[in-house]
Amino acid sequence: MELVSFIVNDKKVELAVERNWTLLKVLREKLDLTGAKPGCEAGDCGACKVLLDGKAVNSCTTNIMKVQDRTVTTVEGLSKGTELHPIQSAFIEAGAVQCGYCTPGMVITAKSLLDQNPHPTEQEIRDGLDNNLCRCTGYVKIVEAIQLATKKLEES
Amino acid sequence: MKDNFNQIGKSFPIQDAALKVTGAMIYTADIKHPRGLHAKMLFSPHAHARVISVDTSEAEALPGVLVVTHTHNTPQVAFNSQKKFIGHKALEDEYLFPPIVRYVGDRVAAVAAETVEIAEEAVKLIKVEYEVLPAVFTIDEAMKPGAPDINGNHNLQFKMESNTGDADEAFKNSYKVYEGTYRFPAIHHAMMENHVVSASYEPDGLLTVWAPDQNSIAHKIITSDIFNIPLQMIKSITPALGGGFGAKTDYNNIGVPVLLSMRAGRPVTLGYNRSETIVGTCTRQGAKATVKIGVDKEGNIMAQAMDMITNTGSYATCGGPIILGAMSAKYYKMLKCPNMKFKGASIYTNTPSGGAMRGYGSPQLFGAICAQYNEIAKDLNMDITKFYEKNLVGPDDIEQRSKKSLGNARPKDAMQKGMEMFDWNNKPLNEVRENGRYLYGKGMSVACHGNGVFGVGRDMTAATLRLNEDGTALLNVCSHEMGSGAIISLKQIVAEILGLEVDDVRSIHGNTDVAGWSNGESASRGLFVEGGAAYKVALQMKQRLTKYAAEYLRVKEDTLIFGNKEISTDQINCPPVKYVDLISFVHDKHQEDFIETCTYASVALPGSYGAHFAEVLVDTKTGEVKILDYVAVHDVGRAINPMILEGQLHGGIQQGIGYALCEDITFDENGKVTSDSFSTYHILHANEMPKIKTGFIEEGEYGGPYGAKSIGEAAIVPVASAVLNAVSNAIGKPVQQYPAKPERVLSLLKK
Ligand code: FES
Ligand code: FES
Repeated sequence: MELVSFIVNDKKVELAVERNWTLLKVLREKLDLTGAKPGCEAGDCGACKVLLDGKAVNSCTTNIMKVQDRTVTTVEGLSKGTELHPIQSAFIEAGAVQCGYCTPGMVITAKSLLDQNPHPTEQEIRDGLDNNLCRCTGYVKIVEAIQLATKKLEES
Repeated sequence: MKDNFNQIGKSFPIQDAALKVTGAMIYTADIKHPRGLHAKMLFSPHAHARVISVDTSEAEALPGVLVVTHTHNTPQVAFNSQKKFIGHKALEDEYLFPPIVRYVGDRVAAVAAETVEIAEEAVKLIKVEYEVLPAVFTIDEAMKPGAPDINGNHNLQFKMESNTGDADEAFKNSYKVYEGTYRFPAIHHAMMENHVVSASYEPDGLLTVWAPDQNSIAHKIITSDIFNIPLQMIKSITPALGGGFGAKTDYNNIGVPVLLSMRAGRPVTLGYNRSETIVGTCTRQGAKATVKIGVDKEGNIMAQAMDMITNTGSYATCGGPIILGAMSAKYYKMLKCPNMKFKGASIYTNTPSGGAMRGYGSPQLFGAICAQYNEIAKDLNMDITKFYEKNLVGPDDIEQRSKKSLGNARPKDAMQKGMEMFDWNNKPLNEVRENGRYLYGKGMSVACHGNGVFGVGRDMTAATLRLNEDGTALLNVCSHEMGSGAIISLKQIVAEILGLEVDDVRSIHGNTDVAGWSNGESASRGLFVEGGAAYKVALQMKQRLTKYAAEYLRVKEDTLIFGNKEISTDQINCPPVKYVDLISFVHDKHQEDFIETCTYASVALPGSYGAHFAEVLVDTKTGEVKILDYVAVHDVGRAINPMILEGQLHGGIQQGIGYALCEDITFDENGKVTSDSFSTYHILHANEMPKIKTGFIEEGEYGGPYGAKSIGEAAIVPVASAVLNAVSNAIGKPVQQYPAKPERVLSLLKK
């Protein structure tokens, strides 16, 4: 076992891990942060996305040793208490949530995308979602939610 | 329809959306069980083999391993993953661990251990001696004389025939007769949440099962059959479903963690990864469909015959009679033609078993039929929409076979509206673009699906509704929220009837301990039947409120008006009574609570029709197909929640385009799945989806709450044939084998 320390959702954590564990496993099994979901555990679906130093990554293919001293934000870290992040409210209002299994990953990707490009075109949104799969929505209302989120973020 | 509703016809997001966007929604795999163990499965490496012996000594010696089970140390009780109720006649040929494995991925052994890693390591230490048997992988091979025999009946699992009129005679009298054969691969549901089950068998004999389950009531019965546990001692919890699309109507491996928990005396979780889910669970049935259609000079269909052969894979599950019966039921719901016949056979192969999937046979059925219509219309030099116009059923038409009303069947209205939205008449059928590099085509199709199983068997849902002291409501229907929005629609119905807001109604679902009987989440019955139950129980509650409000206000019952959690009257000088006061009054005076229970039995099985339109561009250099524009219009009776309806349709279209263009489960020569990840099994990404326009026909349907009918499965049915008809029109050749991957398109272009 090795010790790693990093910041997750604004809190410093230190814990013993096996060298081959993934960030996804540590979040879900050791830190009880089950918002990030396993959908493929191969980097294909994006259900496990979290922000690593502000950029969306697949936590299932991120080795835990690579997270040392870095900052992780999971979907649980976006809302403040019960107050939702504008992206989260936009997903609800736009009807972008069905089974919800892809939703945490989608919300994280949207956050990363909008942080880098606050006014994306529809094509940029679609391209930005290239590593996030959804089987319920055909992505239509997810794209609309991200468009709505840009407006909400502007206003806030 | 113009009505004054407060909740019906309005868009509300799914009720658990706030949990889902924050990561707070708890799915089965998110639950940590105290003292919980983890299980892993040993899957068969052979497509067909007898399990001679299993040596578990090394696996059992590994520290942290508690139980190893396999065919030689488990109950040999045969079951059928799609058994729906006690007395349901479904061929039982599955075992927790079969003595003869029937496909690469069949269950050979399972380990329960302290951690997933230990369980994985232990699985590798199990030594199995197999007697390898000859195997067969396709319907064509399986039907050849002398083919390896999987079930001792030359691989025939089931066959059936149905007909109306005299098709043979009508073919003779037809102006032209057309015939075509279409082939469909097995495909993966690709719900984002993999299969996962936890089970805990406790010392008092109570078994609790947690699973993303579309039919926990039926699965309780199968568990009870296998383990001889009485039903009061089985409790099934459905925490949430990360998508199902039919995959989770299958019992599948639920019994394995149950067995392991009973042996270990501790909770056990068996979670599949994506590869295990693709390889080791059910698929949409592959099929080969030959359709023969006779027409007169004007394009009226004189006779139609379907010869449908489905690939049930390794086990019967719902192969026959269920899926063939479902297909043949839809077959007669589309056409005015009086002379039709349907022949179906379900064939075993050594591939993963076919199971339920959104559309339940209709995508294969209409995939073939609608492609053939497209060819006929072109041959007759007729616009395909004119051909449909002549042949489709309309409102209150009689179904030719049953001679019963088809209800308010509106396929033609859906088509008309779709044509306008798509601007069908102003677009060319096909066109060569950019010096011949690209071929443009437009295509469309009209198809249908059902609304429950009325007339086929029992189709009922029990519901309970309680009013709290403050007038808010708790609705309890045995529903399993799959993300399809059935529950929010049920809440809207209850709120509408009782003059509440949607948020005043909370739904209790996904727990068999508190729910009454229901057929489960299949056959597109969520809104039509479960919604019917919500409607009925809310009306009962309204009656009770009416009686006491009349007493309280000292007015006649027919003067009462419900709204804003109070009851008023049109009498002057009579202030309204708030629910909270009325309930308190009844609690005091009559010592009676506000609780209502009902069983709603469906009264009809109308069709839900959809007309879909697609424009495509085929790249003759790469074979790639790009969809430029897409329109879908559905006959939904009434849009209870337009946003949810659109969402259902969008998702169905994504799945259907995948079926048309890129999705298939592929195998190597030994029957091993080669498309067992999302990099080898491609589903459409956001930037591969076309723009979609949707529309709805709301003319009301008998038997549906507020006239509403289903969308869930109907959404996917016309998609692939609309897309592939556009491709066929673009390239000038029919696409007779799904999916139209680039290499297939290129080879068609070369022909
Ligand atoms: S689970 Fe990480 S990308 Fe799919
Ligand atoms: S909402 Fe179900 S996978 Fe996206």
